[in-house]
Amino acid sequence: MGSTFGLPSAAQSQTRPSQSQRAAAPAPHSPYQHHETWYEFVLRQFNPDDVDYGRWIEHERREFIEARLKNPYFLYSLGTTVVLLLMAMVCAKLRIDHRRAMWITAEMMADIYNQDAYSRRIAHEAIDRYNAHIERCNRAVEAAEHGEPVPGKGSEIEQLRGELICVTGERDTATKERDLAREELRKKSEILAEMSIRLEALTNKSGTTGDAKRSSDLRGADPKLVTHINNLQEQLYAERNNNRKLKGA
Amino acid sequence: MLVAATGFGRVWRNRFGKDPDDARRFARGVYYNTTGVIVRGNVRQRPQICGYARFDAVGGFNPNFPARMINRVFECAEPSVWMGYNKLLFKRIVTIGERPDCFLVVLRPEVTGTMAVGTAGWRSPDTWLLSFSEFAQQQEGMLLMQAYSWIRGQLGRFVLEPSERQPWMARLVLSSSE
Repeated sequence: MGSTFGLPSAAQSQTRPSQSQRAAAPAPHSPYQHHETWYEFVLRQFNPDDVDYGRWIEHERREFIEARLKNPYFLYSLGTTVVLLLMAMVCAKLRIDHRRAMWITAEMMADIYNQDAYSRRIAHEAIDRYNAHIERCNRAVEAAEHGEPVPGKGSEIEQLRGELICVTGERDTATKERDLAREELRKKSEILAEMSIRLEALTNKSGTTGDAKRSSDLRGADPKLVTHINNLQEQLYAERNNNRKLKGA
Repeated sequence: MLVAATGFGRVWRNRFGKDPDDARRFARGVYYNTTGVIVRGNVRQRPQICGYARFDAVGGFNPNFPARMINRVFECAEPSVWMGYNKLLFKRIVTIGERPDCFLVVLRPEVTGTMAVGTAGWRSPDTWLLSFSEFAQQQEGMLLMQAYSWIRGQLGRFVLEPSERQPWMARLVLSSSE
């Protein structure tokens, strides 16, 4: 089936008749022949041997048709190849479809499994509730038969007892808060009484602001000095203001 | 002495160590707070009575969130005068729940009216005026006040009342108008 596409020697001979005549002529000094046109000269630069490629291609084509297309083995091979390719494509398509179907099936199975698990859980809960209810009913029937109090009321008692405990706790908290508030009130009253005494002492002593510093709570010699400086600073500020006003007047 | 801060003055300054290679340079920073007024849109000190409150970062003071320091109780040194300035050193924050001895209160005319600083009876004698700034009609004063001490402003007499349930919180309550 292989073929050589090289330029055959036969093609070398398939040159135009004018070439042999021209080859017989003496070689000119200049490559440019004055009796040919310029485009013939340019074409000759690309094809200096003046090979007839059209004839050569036609020759090759005919050879190919004779050797290949009219050969029954070639047609058989070609048909087999095409059929095999088609079969491969069909197989790939079937495989892809199969995988897709398997995925969808798996998803559906997962959904069914989840639904099944959910249904079982709900059923178990319902069964448990039913069993508990029946158990309570049995206990109630047994208690009624023996003349004991109905156990169903026990939960109400427990609930009431819990509420009682909560209320007791709230009462204790409120009592604590009340005691705290009472203590705060007592301290506040003491502070107010102390302030009243101080105020009375201040009003009795018709003193200046220098006297006022004696009642300061800042204890010790240094705090007194600091308070005194503070009062002097204020007096200085007041005097400056007075001077400013006087200057303005 | 335990002091609870109920507010801060407008002016903040800081001082850090001069060694740039000290890794704890900013952790040991010192912050100064004093009063100020707004002059043409800028905060200026305009001090009439000079003083400042000093806070140490190592004592727990967080300069990035000054609002969180309000209603916190600090252990303080006794008030002093240093280089002509009134000084109150806030050493460290104490745990919540302590009852403070005094409160650091900042007064402004928006709340109390204009304060007649220097006149007799404008404040109770157990208070200490730490710093005072004034410009035009603006005033700001920083006082160290004990519980139930009072100041007298243009609007009346204000008493510092601490909260009963939270004794580290206090506010000025108008007790009698002029």
